[in-house]
Amino acid sequence: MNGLPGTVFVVDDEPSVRKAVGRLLSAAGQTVETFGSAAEFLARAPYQGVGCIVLDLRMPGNSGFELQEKLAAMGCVLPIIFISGQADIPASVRALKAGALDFLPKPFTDTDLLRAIEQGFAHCRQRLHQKAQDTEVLNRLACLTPRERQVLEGVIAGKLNKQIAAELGTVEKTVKVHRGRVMRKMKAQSVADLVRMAERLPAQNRISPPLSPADASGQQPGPGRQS
Amino acid sequence: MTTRRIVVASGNLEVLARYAKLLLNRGYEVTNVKTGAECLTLARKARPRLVVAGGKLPDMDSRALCRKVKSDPACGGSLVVLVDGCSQAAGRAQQAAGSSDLQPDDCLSDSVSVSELLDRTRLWLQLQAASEALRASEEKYRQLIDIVPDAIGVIDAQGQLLNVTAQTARMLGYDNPRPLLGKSIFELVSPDYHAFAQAELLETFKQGAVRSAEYKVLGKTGQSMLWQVSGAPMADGDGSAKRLLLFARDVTAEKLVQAALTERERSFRTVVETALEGVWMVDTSGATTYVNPSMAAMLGYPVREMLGRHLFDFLEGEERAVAAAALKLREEGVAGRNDCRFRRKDGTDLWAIVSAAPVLDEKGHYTGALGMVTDITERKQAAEALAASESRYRKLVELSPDAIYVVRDGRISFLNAAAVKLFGASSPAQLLGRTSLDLVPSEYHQELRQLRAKLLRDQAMNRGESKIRRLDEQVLDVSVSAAGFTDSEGPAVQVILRDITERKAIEGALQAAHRRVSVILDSITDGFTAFDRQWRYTYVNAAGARILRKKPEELLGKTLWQVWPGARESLFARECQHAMEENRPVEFVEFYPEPLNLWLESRSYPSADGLSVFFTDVTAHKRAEAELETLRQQLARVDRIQLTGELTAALSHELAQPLTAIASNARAAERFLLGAKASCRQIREILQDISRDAMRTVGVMQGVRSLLGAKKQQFAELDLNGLVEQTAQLVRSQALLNEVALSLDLARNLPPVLGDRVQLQQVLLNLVSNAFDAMKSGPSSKRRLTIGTSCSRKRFAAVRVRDTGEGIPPEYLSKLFNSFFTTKEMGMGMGLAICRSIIEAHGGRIWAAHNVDCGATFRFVIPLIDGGKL
Repeated sequence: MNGLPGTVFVVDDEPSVRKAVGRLLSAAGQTVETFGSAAEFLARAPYQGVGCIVLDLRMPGNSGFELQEKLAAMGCVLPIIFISGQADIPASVRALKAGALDFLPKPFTDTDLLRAIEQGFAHCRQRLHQKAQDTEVLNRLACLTPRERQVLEGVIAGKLNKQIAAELGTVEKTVKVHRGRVMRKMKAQSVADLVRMAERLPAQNRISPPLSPADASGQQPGPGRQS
Repeated sequence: MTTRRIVVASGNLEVLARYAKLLLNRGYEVTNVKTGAECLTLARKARPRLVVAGGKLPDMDSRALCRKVKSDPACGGSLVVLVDGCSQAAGRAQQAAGSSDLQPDDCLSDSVSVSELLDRTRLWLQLQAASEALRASEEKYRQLIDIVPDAIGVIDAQGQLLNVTAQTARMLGYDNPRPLLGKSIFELVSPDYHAFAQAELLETFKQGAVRSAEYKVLGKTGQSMLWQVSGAPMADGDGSAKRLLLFARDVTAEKLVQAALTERERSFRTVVETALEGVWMVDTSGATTYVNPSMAAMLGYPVREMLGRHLFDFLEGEERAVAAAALKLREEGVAGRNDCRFRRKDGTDLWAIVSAAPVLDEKGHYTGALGMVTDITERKQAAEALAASESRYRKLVELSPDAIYVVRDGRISFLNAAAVKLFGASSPAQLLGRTSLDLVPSEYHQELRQLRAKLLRDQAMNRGESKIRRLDEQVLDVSVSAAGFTDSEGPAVQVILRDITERKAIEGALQAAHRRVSVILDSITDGFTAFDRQWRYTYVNAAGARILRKKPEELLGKTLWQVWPGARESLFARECQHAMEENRPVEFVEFYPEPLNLWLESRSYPSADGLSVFFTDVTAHKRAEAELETLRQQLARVDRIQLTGELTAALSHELAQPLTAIASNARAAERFLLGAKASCRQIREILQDISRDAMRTVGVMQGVRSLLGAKKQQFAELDLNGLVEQTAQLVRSQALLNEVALSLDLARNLPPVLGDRVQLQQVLLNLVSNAFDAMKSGPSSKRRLTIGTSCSRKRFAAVRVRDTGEGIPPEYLSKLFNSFFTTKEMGMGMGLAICRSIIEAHGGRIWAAHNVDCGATFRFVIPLIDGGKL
């Protein structure tokens, strides 16, 4: 995936800056799209490829942060490089905390911007790769029967076959058979592999949180066991 | 005595009782009594007009009652009527027998009807009223005769005095007439006149006509007087004259004068001879005995030709009859004056006025007549012209704007239209015949009476001022010209009035003003000098001399140029010349170098005589003002530095934008060139963008530099819209950083103002900065700032800065612009105070108001150039 070309989306309300930055990135061989406001960018057709957003922090209506929040909520993988006319520390902290890749105070050098964009692309590629893996795991997970899923949960929680069998009201031998099927369906080489897969799943698809020692006593059902 | 009071003593007579009741019904004041005693008491007390008594009175006979009423003066002469059954004839018989005074005035049968009684009552009352009037009249005549200045007496045929008046007694030296009664007139007349008096007495009785003569009369103390006595026979009941009525006047003094006149006749003769008037004497027959040369010349005769000829020879037709009548009067001793037309020798008419008098000899016998003749031929001819002139005069009087009226016998006998108007009447009829005192306030009555008497006596003229009272009681001040004169109708006063109420009021105000002015000039601490039109000092007050460090005598009479050699170049001279030439007041402040070394504030007012100048030493004030101004400038600069500090963050943002664009563009161009991918057009575009952005940074930098620069105040023509736009550029980034939506609302065609660009921008920045602070706590979606301009009343340009912040608590509104008033933790409290001082230095005003919805609006106004004639 490293070889995929990227697109830079420049969002700035200041026309001269927008035009100059767009021009600079074109000269550096990048594909550039420019937008005068957050709304303009959101109106664009969803973009699935490698890219990054160069976003002006201060635009009328506070739309720099808003756009960041909206994109995060939509699960957009495009990293954001904030540019700002002001070395405003609280604002930069807030931006980075909210997942911004970088924060460049204006005026910035072309080197800084291009490096940040390269990093952005790399980041984007990584995220796309990750996203693809997650999708694969979810697909495998969907192949499990409810009983296999229960066994999977037990295995991830680090329980012995005997313990799982007792919880499910069956015998150890049956659990062993289910466990072998889970390993095969999930294409896991080892239990550790299985646990890693489960951990990397997006939150909403988590199989179950790691059981707390208190939960291990089996007195209180954990939230994960509801399914 | 009440006219309708009646007492009825009805006794036992039913008819009288009914009569009394009916009288009461008809409105008479009637008292009905039963007894004579009651009637008498009432008659004394109430003095009725009429007493009606009848029937049988229980206590006295009605006749006796009548006598008692009639004889008692306390009863006041009541009419008494008896209803006692006696016939009238019998009553009359009785009347003749007794004293008629005490008899009843009427007697009626007791069978008389009530209606007849009522009818007669009216007659009785009329009779009573008539007799009252007669009595009063007699009394009046008696009093009149007593005050006649002549002696009056009655004698019988023997010359015995039967009656004389008090005046007669006084003239003869007696206290009262009594000692004279019964005396013979021959005791009073001097013995040498006895024979003459005896003859005259007889002659008078014989002729039965009035005869008049002079007698020497001796008074009580023997002093001799000359009396002119007239005697008239008095007819008695049987027609024969037995008595003479004598009228006598003391002519002693007159006779003395006459004697003196005779003495001087000779000297008069010369006068007469040379008099311009004609003098003509005739004898008893009318023949000419003397004419003077003037008379002869008037008629065209020599004197001798006229002597001896009859008066009638010089008259024609009717004139002779008139002259005959006149001569007859002369014969009777009467002087007279009349117009006469003589015939000249050449046949032409001579119109003349003749004043003629009888000529008597020493004994008083008629010897002829003397006439003084004045030629009035010319006057006669001028009569018509005079009549025309009189009508013109009358018209003039009628149309005169001055009120003119004539007072005769104290009453208004004529007035013109202006007088009718002045007195507030609608027609002359309302005033004619009125007492002139009615039209004058009572406090002037005494003065007016004296004045009128004086005018009538001296026939003099008087001018003055007085007051009149109009018919509507309004009192007016008037100027009065009054003159006494006598015309054919007798003495009168002509009055000309002019309403001077307004003039009086103005005079009063002027006097008060003058008093005030002099008091003020003496006491004011301002200097005051007056110049005449030649620039000479005509007045300087004490304060003025002190300020100018000159004694008044060093200034007065000298010209401005003499006193101050350098004055021609001064603002003072220029301004004062303007004031005098253009006749308008001027006001200015000027520094006067050595020797005065003073700042003076002067106010010059042109007047008819020259120029009045008030001036005050404002040196200390000026110095303080300058210090204050420096201080203000310094403060303003501190404020600007502070403002710029606040702006720094925003300014760096503002600068970062173009710099980013410049840097990026430059690098892009470099890359294009390196990669040889660029067209010349592209490169040119990039370079244009770069220079535009570079200029933008220059603009921002200049704005900052001007704010921080310590330049002095510089007023210039200024477009406020441009200033607002430039300021908005400076604060645009600040708005962005504060998450405030900034918008402009600029008036189109806003006329220019005169102002200092930097200072006004400072005001705007202060207001905007405050607005940002005020909105900090609110939600960012609500933060809106609007800067607007407008034109107010065509005289001011107005700028408003409206925010949606917290607003201003009402208790802060008044002290918002005070120094050191701040609600901010970090503020100095000088920003708005400086704003105010700047705006006021521009002749404007700044204020704040709480918005209806939310936030506050700050406004300031600055006068447009030329009051906004655009």
